[in-house]
This record gives sequence, structure tokens and C-alpha cells, in this order.
Amino acid sequence: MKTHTIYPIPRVGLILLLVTVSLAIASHALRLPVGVFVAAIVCLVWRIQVFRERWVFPGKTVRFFMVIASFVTVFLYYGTILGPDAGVTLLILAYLFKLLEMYKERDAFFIVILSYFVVATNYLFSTSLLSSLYTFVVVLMVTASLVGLNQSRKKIRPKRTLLIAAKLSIQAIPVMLILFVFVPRVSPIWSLNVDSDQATTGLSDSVSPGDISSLSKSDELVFTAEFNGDKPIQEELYWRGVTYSDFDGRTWSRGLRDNYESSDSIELDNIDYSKKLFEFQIIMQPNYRHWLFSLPFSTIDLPYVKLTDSLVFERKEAVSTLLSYRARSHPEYVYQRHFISPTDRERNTRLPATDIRAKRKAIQMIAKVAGDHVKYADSVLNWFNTANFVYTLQPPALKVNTIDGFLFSTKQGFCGHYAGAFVFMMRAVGIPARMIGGYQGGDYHSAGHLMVKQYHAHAWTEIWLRGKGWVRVDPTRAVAPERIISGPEYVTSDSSFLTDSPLSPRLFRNSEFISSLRSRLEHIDYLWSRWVVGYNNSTQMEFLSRWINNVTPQKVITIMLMLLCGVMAVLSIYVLLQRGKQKLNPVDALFLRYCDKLAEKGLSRMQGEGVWIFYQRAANHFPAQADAFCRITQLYDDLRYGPPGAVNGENNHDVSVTLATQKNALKREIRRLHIHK
Amino acid sequence: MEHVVANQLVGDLIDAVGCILIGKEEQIKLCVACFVARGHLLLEDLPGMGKTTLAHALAEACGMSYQRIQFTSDMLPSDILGVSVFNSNEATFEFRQGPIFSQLVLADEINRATPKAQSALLEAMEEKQVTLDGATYSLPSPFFVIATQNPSDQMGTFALPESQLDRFLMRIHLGYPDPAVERELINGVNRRDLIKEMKAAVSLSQLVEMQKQADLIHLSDAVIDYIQRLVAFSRQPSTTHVGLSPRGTLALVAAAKAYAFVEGRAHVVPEDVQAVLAAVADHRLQGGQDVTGHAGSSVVEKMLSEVDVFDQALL
Amino acid sequence: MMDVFAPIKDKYQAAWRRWVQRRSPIAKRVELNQRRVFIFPTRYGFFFLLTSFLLFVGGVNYENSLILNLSFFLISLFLVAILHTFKNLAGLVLVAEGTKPAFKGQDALFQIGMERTSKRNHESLTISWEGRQSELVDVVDVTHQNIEISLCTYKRGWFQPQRLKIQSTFPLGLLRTWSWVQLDFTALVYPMPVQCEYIGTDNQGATDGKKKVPTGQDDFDYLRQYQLGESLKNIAWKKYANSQKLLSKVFHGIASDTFWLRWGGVPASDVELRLSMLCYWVITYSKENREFGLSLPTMDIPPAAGKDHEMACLRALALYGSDKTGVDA
Repeated sequence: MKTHTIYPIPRVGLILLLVTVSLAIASHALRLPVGVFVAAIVCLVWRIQVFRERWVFPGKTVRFFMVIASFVTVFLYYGTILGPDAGVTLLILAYLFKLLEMYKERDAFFIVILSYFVVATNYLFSTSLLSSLYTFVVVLMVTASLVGLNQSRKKIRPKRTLLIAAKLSIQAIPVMLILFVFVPRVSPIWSLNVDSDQATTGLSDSVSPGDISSLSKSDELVFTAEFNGDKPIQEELYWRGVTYSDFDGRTWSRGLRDNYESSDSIELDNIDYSKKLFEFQIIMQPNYRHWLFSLPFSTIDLPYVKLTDSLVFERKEAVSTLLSYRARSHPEYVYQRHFISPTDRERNTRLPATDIRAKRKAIQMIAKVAGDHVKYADSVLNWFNTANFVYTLQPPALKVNTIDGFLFSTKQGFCGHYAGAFVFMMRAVGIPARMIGGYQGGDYHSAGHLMVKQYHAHAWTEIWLRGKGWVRVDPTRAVAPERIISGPEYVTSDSSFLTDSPLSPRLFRNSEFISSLRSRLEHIDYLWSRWVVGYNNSTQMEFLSRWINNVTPQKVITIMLMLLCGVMAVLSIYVLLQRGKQKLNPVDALFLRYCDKLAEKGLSRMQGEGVWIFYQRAANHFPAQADAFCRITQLYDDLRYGPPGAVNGENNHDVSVTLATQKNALKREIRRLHIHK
Repeated sequence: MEHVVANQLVGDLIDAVGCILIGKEEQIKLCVACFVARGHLLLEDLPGMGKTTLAHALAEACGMSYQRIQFTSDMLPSDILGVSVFNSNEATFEFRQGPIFSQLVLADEINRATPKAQSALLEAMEEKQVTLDGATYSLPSPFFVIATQNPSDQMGTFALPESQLDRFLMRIHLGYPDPAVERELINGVNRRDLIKEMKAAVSLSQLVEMQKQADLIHLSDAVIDYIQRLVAFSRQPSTTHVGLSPRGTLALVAAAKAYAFVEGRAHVVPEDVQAVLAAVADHRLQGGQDVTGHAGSSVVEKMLSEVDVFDQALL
Repeated sequence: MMDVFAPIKDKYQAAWRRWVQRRSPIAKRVELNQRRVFIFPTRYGFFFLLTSFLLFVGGVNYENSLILNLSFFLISLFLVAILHTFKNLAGLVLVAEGTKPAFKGQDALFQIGMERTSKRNHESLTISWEGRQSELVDVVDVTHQNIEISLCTYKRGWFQPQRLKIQSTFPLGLLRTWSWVQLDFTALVYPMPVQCEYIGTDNQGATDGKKKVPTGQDDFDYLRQYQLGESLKNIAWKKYANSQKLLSKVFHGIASDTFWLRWGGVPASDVELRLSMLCYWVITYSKENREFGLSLPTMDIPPAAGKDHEMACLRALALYGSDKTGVDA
């Protein structure tokens, strides 16, 4: 057996590696517990001190103790040592401890590999453009460390190492792009999920009046939609999310029946494609919920997604990363036109035993319209419209009998109050009704796509009418129609609307520059989400079908291999035939241009001939230009041979300025030179 | 001393020597440059070409004390360095200085002496001191040696080994004079008589000052690059067996600076390097033989014609 | 390794050697071109590929296209590294510059010139004889770089080293590129000097190996104080007569007598031992700057002194009994 030489770690490689480790950990900075930070600083300082030969590496017992301690701490902090957060924390701790075990080239290489994993785990939590750019820098540094580890141990020139790494990385980009675009996206081999309790904003499983007012203030992006063909107008943009069917007198909630596991997937049958149709692509920001957003009566093209019988798109996994999907909406579709199952009917008419006044009022009103459901609904909306109901984002609190309190005493509320009250009134007379949570409207970006933000959150209702199926009714519209037509900010005179977020578009709507800058940034972010982060199977198909007819995997792979061969061939020629990098001095280049000018007139400088000797010959040959030749040669002489900053023997203090002026003078002289006998 | 004044002095010096040795301005310039660069000089030519005259004239023009040593085959080191003589009255040894204790030494026909005598001289040249019988005697300052040798008549001579040729900053050939110059020689007075009437053109302190000024001549990166290309070319295995040593490179730099000073420039240009290259490099390039067996200076010619002042590799 | 495979292994190695030999014939100057440069991933390279595969699996399962992209980046980096690693060795020219002779058992020095055919840098190269300690060398920003590597000698005469292996893993350490080069090098190996007593008696005018009294007038150098123990023959008696001081004459350089080192003059019968002993005496006399001749059964070298003479003698000893004496050093 051959004994392996133990290679020490080259200095440049070690320094770069320590910088890389710091950068890689910094990318996780905001997510990690403070303790990890302390550990990071301790480990880095320790390793630097070892490098400076002040301290020694920790012994076996210390390392063993550190490992045990970190497991225990992580378990105490997260309650588990599995799962993404705990897992990443452990990975980072292992990464740090490996630093204190880095004696040889092999250990350093191991840290390089770990660095790549640390970068990759960062993508599990953040996929924004900014953080991706940062990780690109980290990856570049990792590559530089790898170069440094393999560089000659004699040299200490980190700048050169970085340059080599940058060159390699840039040359790797074309191949990477081809692979990214063409490698077929396969569906997950086994299911992994980052389920974390991060769902802090947005719609929730239940809604009690008061919740949505907080949503309305946030301008956080929920999803973007890009329409193919017709774009709906604002009144058509009812983005359905959750169906709240259950009411306990205070809180509206979605039933367990809507969960992925407990529901059956239904299909919309007999779709009439000749009717109105919207086609769109949605890129959803992670909201850590299971439902997807779409316009009414849609089909969504995505695996592991069920359409429940209350027309909610339920995904098996929570949306933890940017999710992109295509959907098609049939707004004129009629769902459950003639028949509704008894369980559905029971569920959608069930009421608690509270709010007697409202129930009484409902019975009075239906009596007035002789039991006609349509007329009854209209009369309720009419009541909302005429009986001094006020739309406000800051309604007074309601304690018990919330429906009664709202309808008969406060008469102030927002969409949740109106939708809740309306559904209650419907159910009170036996009309199946439910509250729908979602988003209404959206801001069209100048680039064409629609951006739906948290302040578009809305609640409306659906009632079932025999012969018409489920019909959408928006009671808020009866009170504040502007909310639907123009957008949420027109409804209220509250000065507090969105002013608490800096750079809010509303706040700066008067500043042309900032709003255009913001719009541009939003667009870049949209493109990044749409085409890079959201580049999944369907996006890939969509993209490739722009260029290729009949996309099949075989075709894609063939084209990919051909492109790869082409790019590698070009790269090989470029790399292998490259003749080094040193550049001719610019002043030399100028002088050689002057020589070329003379050569065109039949007088060429000989190999090895000095500039002054050449001047002698040139002056003899073309006496008329002797002065110009002399000036040129003198300038060249001053620039290249003279001490810096000396013009005609005088010392000038501003060396660089003098040099630049002289260079320009030389350039001018040479350009002006016309040689004739 | 102002630069302009120094130029004037150099001009005077060259003129003064030029009066004696007519039509050899280039060689005289090189000799002066050699002095300015504190180097020793080897004159190599046939007898009667004016080697001794040149050396004598230079000594007079610089106002230096001058000694001539005629080298012969029976010469001993003590004939050059001096000898300890026993003083019987005081019963002690006294050191009698040899001819080398002089500011300018003309070592005539240096290749006639045995290696032993040669090396005695050459060691003294390098060390600028003489060590005899355990005592050290400093040579005067400035100290120059002009050695002459006759390249054609090789009978009974000992050629200087390469290591010792290296001690000379320059090796200069005088060459035949022009017909016009020769005519003037025929008509004019005896050159040696003229030397006796010569006055010093520069004082010793001025010469020392000139040496200091030459050190300050600017050598730009472009010229250093050029010198390095020249040196690298000489080291190519296809050019010579042995290229220019680092000492040779330093000698080339010193000589080029001195030549630029003699030419009145404040900085070195490649032309200065080219002007001194033959004198400086010729005798250092492994006996002046290239691989193909071509005669000496062809290597230098090749260097001059094949190494461009611009870096050809970058074009 | 199991012994069963040893013959197969030997056979395979012999075939491999022949194949390499065909590809890289002996030459003074070898350019490492496509035919000669081999490339293969290192274990780090395989590990790197495994990493990118793991990232790919992770990216697929988390449906995260940025993780997928990282995996694609690693694969691309690997592909680009192939070109750059290859480039780092290809285009380098190795020149057999010269050798320094050695005594048997010592290290002979081989000078190798490394030149580049373009302005490209060749970094972090290791160069070694097959299975020996390697030397690290960079050819960066210079057109020519000389290195000296040594190899222990074990045989007298002309010594031709084995193939040189030159390799590099620069820039990423993921791939190793290497080349076998057989440079046309021969170093002269002198016999190992063995100290002994010289028992020869057939010298002219001398009886032992000690320093002789020089008589030549030319070699007289100077006088110095007589010191006890000096030969009385050196005393300047005339001066003594004048001054009553004992002064001895100091002679410079080589002694003028001649001395023959003869084949039979050393106490050994074995040829190699005899050569070793003669070698010792050649060195000893040369150190003393004495004039001597060397007489071997096959050739005689007339008496002389100096470095050149020593070289000639050692060379004769080194090549004694070999028919390759004609090879030019």
C-alpha cells in the first residue's frame, strides 16, 4: 500500500476558505438562533488563531463535547433534530466544527463541498433575486477557495486566485444555462416538504371579523398573474382562495372536509369552450398554506392538487417555495345547476343558535318577497345599501351576537362583516350560502402582468339558487361599490392606509421617479420569479414550445446535447487556443500606429531599431514632416522612457494628469500626421 | 553640480581626448562612459592602433596619476602589487608599492603574462585593495584599469579566462582609422608629444561627481523590459552556450546609464543600451561563440537585430 | 493485493509501458501535446460529481429550481475544469538541459528546462521520476524556467534515468492531468571513492604520495617567516646568511613533478574496488593540485593538473570496461 503524502493547506486557499465560510453562514444569518452565531465567531477566531500559530487545534474530547452540546442545544431549541430548520442548523454547526478539524487538503475539500450544501439550503428559505445574487458571490468564493487549495504553495496572490475563479465561473455559465433550460423537470421522487409555522400573513383557516383589516394594510405580494389573451376587468377579478362554510356565531372557518386527504377531487364537466375563457399563469409567493388561488370555475394544471367540492384547489404540500402554475377559468360556467347534495345543503345552511334578531329580520324579509330566493337576496343587498351602513377598515369591536350587533347597532364594517352577515341572512331562510376568502382585483403592472397584494384581500359570498347553481354575491359592493371598481384605497378616507410601510407605492404615488423605479424593480422581481424560480415542468414546456414544435422529452434531450456539444466546442477552442493575456502598452500601441503610417509610405521600422534612430531615418526620408516626427518621438520618449511626471525636464507634481495630457497629445499628433514628400 | 555643467564637462573631456585620437569619438564616448560607470576597460586590437595613446590621453584628460605596466611572461605578482623589502637597518620588512598603486593603470599586453600575474592584477581590480603578507593596502580612488591585449598574435600568450574577462565592464575594439583621419595623422605632429602638452579637462572631484550623477539617471520600466528581453534572448539555448549572467545584466544597466549621461540625457533610452551592448556583452558571452560556431560579435548582432525595442510577443 | 493477480498485473504493466514508450519516444526536447497528455478525474472530482448529483436530487424533491441550478453549475464547472486542467499541462515544453555527474550512490542532478509555447501560464505542476518524491514548479509569467531534480545513482558508467512523470491538478483539483516524458538524459556516474593506501612504487622521482619539493624557479612566489615543521628544503638559506632570519620560500600552484596512478597501485583485486580506490586518489591529488597521470589497462592519460584533467580521469574511471565510451556527455 502506498502511503499518501499529507499535503498541507496552501495559505491562499485557507484564507479564502475562511472568508467563504463567513459569507456562507451570513446568508443564513436572519434565520439562525443567536447561539449559532456565537459558535461561528468562536470557530472562525479559533481557526484564525491556529493559522497564526497562536493557538492549537481542539483535542478529541473538546470536539466530542462540542458535537454533543450542539445536538442537545438544537433539540432544546427546535424540539427536534429533524426538519428543515433544525437540520440546517445542525449542518451549519457541523460545517463550523469541521473548521477546527481542518488539517489537510482533504479536510479543506470537505469544507468546500459542505459550503455548496450550505448555499443550497439557503435556497429552501429564500429565493428572492437579491439573496440569489448574494449566493452567487458565495459560490464564486467557494470556487476561488478550491482554486486556492490547488495553487502552488509558494505564492500568495489572492487577487489572481479570484480572477481565475471568476474566469472559470463565467465560462461555466453557458453550459449551466443550457442545462437549466433543457434538462427535463422530473416530478419529486419522494415527498419532501418544508412545513414550517411561517404562515404569518395572508388568509387563514378561519376568519373572525376584524382579521382582514390588518391584511388590507400590507402591500406584500401574494401572487402575480399573467394572462394569455383577454384580460379581465377589475370586477371580474375575484381570486378564490378558501371557502368558509362553518360558522360558530363568532368565527367562520373552513371545514376539515376541504383538506387534501379527506376530500375527493371533482372535475368540472361539460365545459363549454366557446364561452368566455381566461387563461393565465400564476406565480404564487410561498404562503405555507395548502390552497391555491384562481378565478372562479378554473382548472389547474399541476400534480398533487385536488379540486374539492366547494371548488377550492387544495395542494398536498403547503406552498413553501415560489409556485408557478397555469390555470384556465370559465366565468360563465354553472356549477351544480339543479342539484345539491343533502350533506352540502345541510352544511351550507347550518347556523348557531345566536343572533335571534337577524334571524327574525330574515323571516320578515322573505315573507315580503313571497319566498322568492332571488328577490330575497336582492332585498337584503338593498337593505345594506340603504340603511346607513358604512364601509370602514376600523370598525368598532363586537362582543357577543356579532351579526346582530353589526346589523342593528354599529352598522360599520368591512367585507368580512358584510359577507358574514349576508351569508347568515341567507342561511336563516334556508338558502345554501358560504363565505369565500380570497383577493379581489389586482394592480396591472405596466409590463402587462397583474400583481395581487395583501391589501387586495377580500371576502364575498356564494349562494346556491336552483337552476342557477352557485352564484357569487358580493355584499360589500352594495355598500361601497368603489372598493370593487377602483381598488381598496378609494374606499376609505383613512389616512392610515398603507402609510406604515416605507416605499409604499401609495405613499410615493406623487413621485414619478420613485414609482417608476419601483415598478421596474417589481418587474425584474416578477421575471425572476416567473422564469427562474418558477421554472418548473409547465413553464419549461411553455418556454420550449415557443421555439420547438411538438415538445417531447427525446427532442429536448437531443437539442440539449447538440447545444452542449456546440458550446463545449466553442469553449475548447477559446480556452485551448488562448494565447495569454498580457497587453501591449497603450503608448506603445500608439507609436506602432505611427510606425504603420510610415510603413504605408514605404518606410518601415526595422526589427530592433530604436525610436530615435528611426526618427533620423524618417526625417531624412520625409524632411517636410521632420518636426512632427520629432514631436511624436519626443512625446513617446517622455512617456515611456522618461521619469514619471517630467515634462521637458521640469518636475510636475500631478503625475497622472501630465501623463494623460501627454498621451492625448501623442494621440492627436499621430492622428493629425499626414505624410507626403 | 548642475546637469548642464556636467554635460559641458563631458563634452570637454571627449574633445580633449578626441584631439589626440582622431576619428574615434564613439570609442572615446564608450571609454568615458566606462569611467563614469566606475568600470575597467579592456582594449583589444592589433598593435599600433592607438590603444596606449588612448589610455594615456584619458589619464591626462582626467588628471589622474598614471602608471603603465608592460606585461611579460616572466612577470611575478610582486612586480605588479609591490614587494616587502627587508630593511636591514631596522630589521623590519617594508612594503614597496608596485605600479598598481596609481589611479589609472595601463596594463599593456595583459595576455602575455602568466595566469598568476594576471590574477594578481584582476584580484586587485575587483577588490580595490592589495593584500600582501597579511597586510591590506588600499588602492587609490578612483581606480581604473585599462588593459590592452592583442587578439591575433597568440604565440606564448595566456588568454584571460572568462571569469576574469567578466571583471572588465567593457571590451572595446578601436579599428582602423578612416583614410582622411590617417592622412591627418601623417601630416600632424606626433600624438605622444601632444599628450605631454595636455591639460586636465576635468578634475578628479568632478569625475567623482559625474559618477554620482550617472547613478541617478532614470531607467524606465520600458527600458528594463527591453534589457530583460535582450538578456533572455542571450540565454536561449539556441543562441549561446551560456547567456549573460545577472552580473552581466547589471553591468549592462550601469553602462547604459553612464552612456545616457555622456549623451546628456536624463534617462536611458534603448539606443543607449544598444550603443554599449557590444562593448559590455561581447566578452561575457562564453568566449563569444554561439552554438553554430559563428564568430564572437555575431551573437550581439543577433541580439540587436532580433530583439525589438517593443515587445514583439505582445503584438 | 492477491498474488494470483501478480503475473497479470506485470503483464499489463509491461504492455502499458510499451504503449507509453511508443507514444513518447526519447528526445532532448518534448512538447506536451494532445497525444501525450492524459486526463482523469481525481477522487475529489468524483466526490464533486456526487455532490452535484445529490443537489440535483434535492432540487427535484424540493421542487426548487435554484438548487437545481446550483447542481447544474457544479456540473458545468466540472466540464470547464476539464479544459483548464488539460490546458495547464498541454503546450509545455520540457528540455533536457544538462546533467551533473555524481559518484555512485550519490544523487545525480538533472536540469530540466520548462518553456511555454504561448503566453499561457502553467501553474502548480509536480514533476517526479516514476514513484519518487516530486518537485513543485510554476511556469507563470516567464517563458523559461529551470529546475533541477535529483535521482540516486546505483551503477557506474552512463546512467539513464527512467521516465519523468509530470502532472497537475490545477485549477480545481477535480481532475488530474499527467504525462510521461522520456527525456534524452544521460548522467555520468563515477565510481564510489574508497579510501585506501596507495602502494605503487613506479613513480619518477617520488617515493610516496606526499607533497614534493618544487624546484622550478618560475613558481617561486614570496618569502615568509619560517614555521616549525616546514620542510628545511624550503628555507631561503641565502637570506638567512644575510639577515640571520629563517625565511621559507613559498611556492605557488602546481608541483612540477609527475606522478602516475597505476592500475596495480591499489590494494585490491576486484575491478570495481580498484576503480573506486583509484577514484579516491584522483580526487585527493586534484585537491592537492598535483600533476599526475592515470594509467589503466585500456588507456593512459598523460600527467597534467587542473579541473579538466580531473574530469578526464574520473570519466575514464567511470567508463572503464564499457563499450559506450564514445557517447558524448
